[in-house]
Amino acid sequence: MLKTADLLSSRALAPLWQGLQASSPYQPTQAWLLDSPYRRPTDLSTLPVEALSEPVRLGQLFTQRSLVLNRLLFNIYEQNNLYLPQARFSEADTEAFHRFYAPDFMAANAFVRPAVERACFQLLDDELTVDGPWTMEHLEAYCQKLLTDFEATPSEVCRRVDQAAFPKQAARMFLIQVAPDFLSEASQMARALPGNFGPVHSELTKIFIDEFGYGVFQHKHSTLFERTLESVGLNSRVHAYYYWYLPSSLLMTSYFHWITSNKPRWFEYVGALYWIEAVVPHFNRQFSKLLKAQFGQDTDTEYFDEHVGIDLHHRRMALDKLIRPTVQLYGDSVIPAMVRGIEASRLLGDLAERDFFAQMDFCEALHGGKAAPEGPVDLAGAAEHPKGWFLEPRVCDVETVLAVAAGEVEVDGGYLTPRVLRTGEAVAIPAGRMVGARVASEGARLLFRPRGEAAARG
Amino acid sequence: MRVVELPARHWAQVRTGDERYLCVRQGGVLTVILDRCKHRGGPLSKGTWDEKTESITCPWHELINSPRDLCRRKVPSVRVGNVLRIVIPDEG
Ligand code: FES
Ligand SMILES: [Fe+2]
Ligand SMILES: [Fe+2]
Repeated sequence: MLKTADLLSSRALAPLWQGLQASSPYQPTQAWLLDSPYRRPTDLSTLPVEALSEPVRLGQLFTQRSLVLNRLLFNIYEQNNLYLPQARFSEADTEAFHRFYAPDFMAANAFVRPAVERACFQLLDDELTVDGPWTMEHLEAYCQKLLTDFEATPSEVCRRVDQAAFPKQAARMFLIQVAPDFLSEASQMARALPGNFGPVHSELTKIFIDEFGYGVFQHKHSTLFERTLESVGLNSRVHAYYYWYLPSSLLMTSYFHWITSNKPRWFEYVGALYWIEAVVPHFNRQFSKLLKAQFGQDTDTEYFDEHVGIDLHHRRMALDKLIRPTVQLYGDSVIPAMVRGIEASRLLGDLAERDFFAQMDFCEALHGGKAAPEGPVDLAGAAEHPKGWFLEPRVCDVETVLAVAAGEVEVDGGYLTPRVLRTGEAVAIPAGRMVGARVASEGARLLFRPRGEAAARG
Repeated sequence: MRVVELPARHWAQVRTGDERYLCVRQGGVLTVILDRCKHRGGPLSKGTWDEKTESITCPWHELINSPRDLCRRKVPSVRVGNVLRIVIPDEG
């Protein structure tokens, strides 16, 4: 039996890992927006292969190691998705295209995948256990209760975005957080389709037909989402905003890849799918309204409006056509896995919300000119960088200071309109938050250091 | 316009190009409808026929297409013996 733990300790993965560290799709770029879906900057350089044997605990989700591992896992799954350029292949496209989908590169990724999955999803095992004699009656009562409570509460995301000082930027940042999932909507479901698994196979296909717009491109859910992005002034190119995907947003998307590609998790998927379909109508109704209020009545909100209607069907279909017949056929023993799927989606949803709110708070402060560090900053260690030098968006593990000793530097946290810091200005980035920077003038000198090391003494 | 034939019996079907047509009995008369659900265009021919109410439950989201709904999807038809002819738009 091949065991991931043994592989890790045998160092058999080491050469593959080095190959991935040096691979072209994972190298850094120099710009805020990615120009092709085949570029997936993933900074593995500081992660030794041993980092894979250490799970990302719940309290470590908002760290740089978690971001890198989650970028990696997301990219591994995404090699299963075909992306083609929007126009003719440029020479660079052709090269990048072949590199991203190169069989050797895919094989190396596939080989480390179980270890990365273990590192990223262990926190679900830590947090969730389902036990006891569950029956269909329990499951239904449980779902009903969760759903009633959920629908009795107005969306906190909508409230926070509405009340933000920069609501448009906040709303866009939210759309970016769901983009890793929605830009290739239902690709995870597509992974669940191959095979031959009885009547529920056909029931799942019916949901899939809706997701893919009945073979009409204009109705495909990913197409609707692209139109929403464009209508609020965002770029709809696949993963153009890759750099701003928070670790929790990546994890949420990867979770559905995980439970659809790991076939024994089928029952968990059925539960998770039910919950995701179930919560969409209530949220989307509110978010659609918010987009119209913020960006005008002409905003293309069809993506959200469409789901208000169709996901009421999907919720019912998931319960009556997937869950119920499955339990009837295989017995109550499959219910706990379904409950786990429901709870895992809820937990990941909550984490993504927390991550988003904290990032939003930082962006609000940054853009409102309020993120200055407390006390003076010692600029002695500031380093000179040429114009265009790029500090890739990353998570700060501890409170960190970014200070400009000379010149101009753009700083952003995901609001997409970087704030320009000038000589003598500084910002503090709270622990767990993402930040990126780009030198905007020749010969700028800047300092990027943990707060504890940057404070001026005396 | 073109003319397409199908057998004159309840639930007979014909497919031409991108479109499907379905023959259904309505009030004792055979009529031909576009084989598309009023909701999202699901294949009514794969749904369930209710003899009593003469309506069809769509297989996709299980909406009931009543005789009135079905009536809206009628195409011109003529029955000669056991052959039905329908007149439908050209493809493309
Ligand atoms: S398409 Fe017929 S019920 Fe939805
Ligand atoms: Fe959808
Ligand atoms: Fe759906």
